[in-house]
Amino acid sequence: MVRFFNVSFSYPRSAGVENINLYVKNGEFVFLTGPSGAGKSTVLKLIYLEEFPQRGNILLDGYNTQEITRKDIPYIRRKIGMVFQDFRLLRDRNVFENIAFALRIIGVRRSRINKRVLEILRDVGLSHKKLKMPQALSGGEQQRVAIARALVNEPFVILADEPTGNLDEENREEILALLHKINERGTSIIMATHNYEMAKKTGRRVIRIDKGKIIS
Amino acid sequence: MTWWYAVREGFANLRRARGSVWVSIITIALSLWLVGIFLIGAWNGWQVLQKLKDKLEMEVFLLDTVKVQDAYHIRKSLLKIPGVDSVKFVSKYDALQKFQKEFGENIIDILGENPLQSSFRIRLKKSFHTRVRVQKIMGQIKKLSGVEDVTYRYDLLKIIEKYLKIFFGIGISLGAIIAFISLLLISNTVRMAIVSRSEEIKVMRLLGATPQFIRRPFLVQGFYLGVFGGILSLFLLLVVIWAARHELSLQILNAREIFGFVMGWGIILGVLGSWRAIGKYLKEEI
Repeated sequence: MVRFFNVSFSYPRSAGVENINLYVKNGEFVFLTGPSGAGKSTVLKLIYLEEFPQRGNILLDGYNTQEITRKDIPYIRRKIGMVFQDFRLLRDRNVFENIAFALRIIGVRRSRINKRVLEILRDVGLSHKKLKMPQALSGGEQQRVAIARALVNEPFVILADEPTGNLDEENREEILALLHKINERGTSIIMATHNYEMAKKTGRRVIRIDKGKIIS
Repeated sequence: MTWWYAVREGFANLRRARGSVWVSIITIALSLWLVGIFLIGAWNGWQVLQKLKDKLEMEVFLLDTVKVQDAYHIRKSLLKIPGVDSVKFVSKYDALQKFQKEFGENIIDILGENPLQSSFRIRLKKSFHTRVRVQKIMGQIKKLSGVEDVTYRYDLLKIIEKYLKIFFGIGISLGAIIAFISLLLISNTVRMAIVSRSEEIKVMRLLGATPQFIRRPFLVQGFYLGVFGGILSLFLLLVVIWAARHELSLQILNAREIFGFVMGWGIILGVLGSWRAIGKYLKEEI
C-alpha cells in the first residue's frame, strides 16, 4: 500500500510536486502519466525515499515518512522494486550476477541465492541467457533482467520509471505483458510514462500529473 | 556472509586500480620504513642512554658525628624513599682506600687525619632519572638527620635529557609528516576505487544495501593497503638491519616489538586513510 497525504516537495532550482494525494492499494497497477518535467519521477523518488516530503506524509506498507529515520531507508527499499528507463545494470558482471547482486548485498545465503535467481530468471524467460553480459542483450532483454532484479526480493510494489522509454514497439509490449503478469501475482505496480495513449489502452487506472499536480 | 563480501570486494578494488594501489603500497612502505628506522635507532639510543643513566649515582655524605649504628638507621630510611633502588655504604676507610688507589697518595701522611666522609651511594630506579624526581628525592634525603650533603651529576642528566628530547622531537615530527603524506595517498587510492564504482554504489543504494555494507569493502581495501605496505616495509627494514650489521658491523639490537608496531601502524594508516576517503566522498551519497 502506498498512500500520499497532501505531499509537497520542491527542488531548490526546479519544480517538484504540490499537494499530492494518492492511494495505491495492494495489488493495484497504476500509471502515472504527464509530460516530461511534470513530476512523475519526483513522485517515484518520494516513494523510494530518495526525497522526503517537505509537507504532508507518505504511508508505505506500514511505514510513515514522518517517523522513519535514515537507518530505516535501506530496509524499506528492500521491499520496493525499482526499474528505470536506462536499466541500470552493472556492466562488469553477467545476467545471473546482476540479479544475484540484489540478494548478495542484503546478506542472503549463497545456496538460497542460486535457487532464487534461477527461479526468477525462469519467470522472466531468460534462463538461457544467464551467463551473458548485459551489453550482449537487446534492450528488451536488459529491461527484463532489470525487472527480475527488482522482483527478486519479493517487493510489495514495483516502481517503473519510463521502463519502455528506450524500447521499440515489440519490446514495449513484451515488457508491459511481463509487468501485467507480475501484477497478477499480487505485486503492486506504479509505472510512470509520458505515453498517455499506451496507458489508457491497458484499461488500468491512469493518474495524470501536470506541473506537479494531479489533474485526474 | 556480508563480511566475506567485503573481504572479496576489498581485494577486487585492489585489482581494479593497480597503478595507484602500487603507489600507495610503496609510499606506505617507505613511510613505515622510515618510522621503523627511527624507532630502531631510538630504541638502541635509548638503551645506551639508559645504561649511562644507570651509572649515575647519588652520593649522600654523612656528618663525621654519625656512628655506625646511626648509619644503619639512615640506610633504612633511604631505602624507604620511593625511587631508591639500592644503597651502598662507603665508610671513611673505604673512601680513603679508593682515594689512595686513584691518586696514589696517602692523605693521612700529609694531613695527619682522614678528611674524607662516610657516604651512601644510591642507585635510582630507571624511571626516576628525571630532574624533577631527582630533586624531590634529594629534598627528602636532606631532611634526614646525620646527612651533611647530597650530590648528583645534574649537568650530565641535563645533557642526556636534552639530546633525548631532540632525538624524539625530530623522529616524531618526521614520522608525523610522512604518516600524513601516506594518509593522503591511501585516501586518494580509495577515493579512486569509490569513483570507479560509483555506478555500482548507486545501484546498491537503490537495492537497499546499508551504508555500512557499502563502506565496508573500502575500509577493507585500506586495511589491505596497510598490511601490504607493512610487509614491504618489514623487508626493507630487515635489509637495513642486515646491512648495518654486516657492512658497518654495528651492534644493532633486534626488536620484535618494533616490527609489530610498524605493522600495526601500517594498518591504522590504511584504515584511517580509507575512512577519510569514505567520509569525504561517500557520506553525502549514502
